[in-house]
Amino acid sequence: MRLKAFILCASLCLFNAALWAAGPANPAADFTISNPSHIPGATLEPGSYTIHVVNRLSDRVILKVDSTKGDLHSTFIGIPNSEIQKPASSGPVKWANPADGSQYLKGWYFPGGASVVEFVYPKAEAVAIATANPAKVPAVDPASEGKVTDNTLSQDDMQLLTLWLLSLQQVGPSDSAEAKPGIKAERYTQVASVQKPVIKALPHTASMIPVVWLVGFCSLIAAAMLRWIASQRRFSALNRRALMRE
Amino acid sequence: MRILAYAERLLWTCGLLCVGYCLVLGVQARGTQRLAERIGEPLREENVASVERATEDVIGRIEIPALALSAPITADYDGNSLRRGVGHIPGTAVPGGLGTVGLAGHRDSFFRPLRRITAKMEVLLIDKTGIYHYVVDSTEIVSPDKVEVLNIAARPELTLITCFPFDYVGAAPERFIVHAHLLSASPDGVSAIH
Repeated sequence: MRLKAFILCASLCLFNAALWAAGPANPAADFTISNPSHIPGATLEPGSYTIHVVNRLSDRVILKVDSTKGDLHSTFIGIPNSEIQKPASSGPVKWANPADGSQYLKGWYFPGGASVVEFVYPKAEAVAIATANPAKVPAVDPASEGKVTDNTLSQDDMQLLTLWLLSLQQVGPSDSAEAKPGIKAERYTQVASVQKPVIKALPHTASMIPVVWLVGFCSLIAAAMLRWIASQRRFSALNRRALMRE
Repeated sequence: MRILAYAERLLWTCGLLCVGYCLVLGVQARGTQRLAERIGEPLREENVASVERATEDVIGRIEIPALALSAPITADYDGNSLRRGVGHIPGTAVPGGLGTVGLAGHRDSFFRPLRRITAKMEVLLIDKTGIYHYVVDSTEIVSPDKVEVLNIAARPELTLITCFPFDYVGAAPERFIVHAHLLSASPDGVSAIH
């Protein structure tokens, strides 16, 4: 009996170890900020923080930043971007130009990583960054997918959010003077998945108002006609009586 | 003679009730329209709370200048919402959002002018954040089960839905769909394009 329990425990330990080894690498790093900097959905005041990868998916990673004081815990999406030049050492990568007067972090390079993990910003922040920087800014818009817009998005929600790229471009007919700078949005490389329909059937949009109006109008006409017929009858009856008297 | 008198009274009552009902709905729709017109305007401090309460279910306004169409956008597409404006389909993108905005409206009231819509017409969606410009790409007639028209495409889009045929009396068998795309994800980023 004891031998069986021992074998079971040993096999469980081995299985877990195998799973651990086969699981995604979740790198982490400590860093210090000397000037206020923005990350998706939060502002990092000067201080010490930890960043680590919480989850890895086929097209994105879920990142988490915690302050060492314990007053900030921010979870957001990142996408590995091999087009961003890797910095000499691991650490933050910043956007070249501040947006709305604030410094935004572009991404993070983890030690030994194959590429920089680019941060995905909520739409409003991504629009501000794209306006100030000539590049494609990854963005999400939770409100447009029926999700909460605050910093409480669950990891499950983050895995389902559609990724977009925003960039400053001439919008409108390119050959006319009417073309003006606008923020162009295009979908990020789509991962093959079946989109869940938001409704079961397209809405039924015929109201009863025209019918009700018609019924009401016809009723009033018919009532007026009956009144006229009744008055005509009364008038002719009075005439007949008058003739009889005469 | 007495029967005719009863019938007349009944018809007057029925007629007045029907017309009264339509007038009440008309006044209601007019009130919603007025609320929608105030969206985006600067508010006086003392009016902020009352307007916010009143516009809770009115999220914006749709305008198609070429068709002289202007209607409030309500937060849902149930019967009451569709009587007061154009209904936003929950789960689809918000005006100017990254995704496909789904709006449904009655073909015999707010969306009646859609029968004259053509490609390249400009559609404006106005909400608290500003004015978003869309341009019409195409129209199509589909069966009510073709919900894929609301799927997220490669760029932010707008899908307008109403019943078809426009002159059908009762529950129409098909749906008239208008597809448009967003010009700029930032509000007021571009001016009208014709």
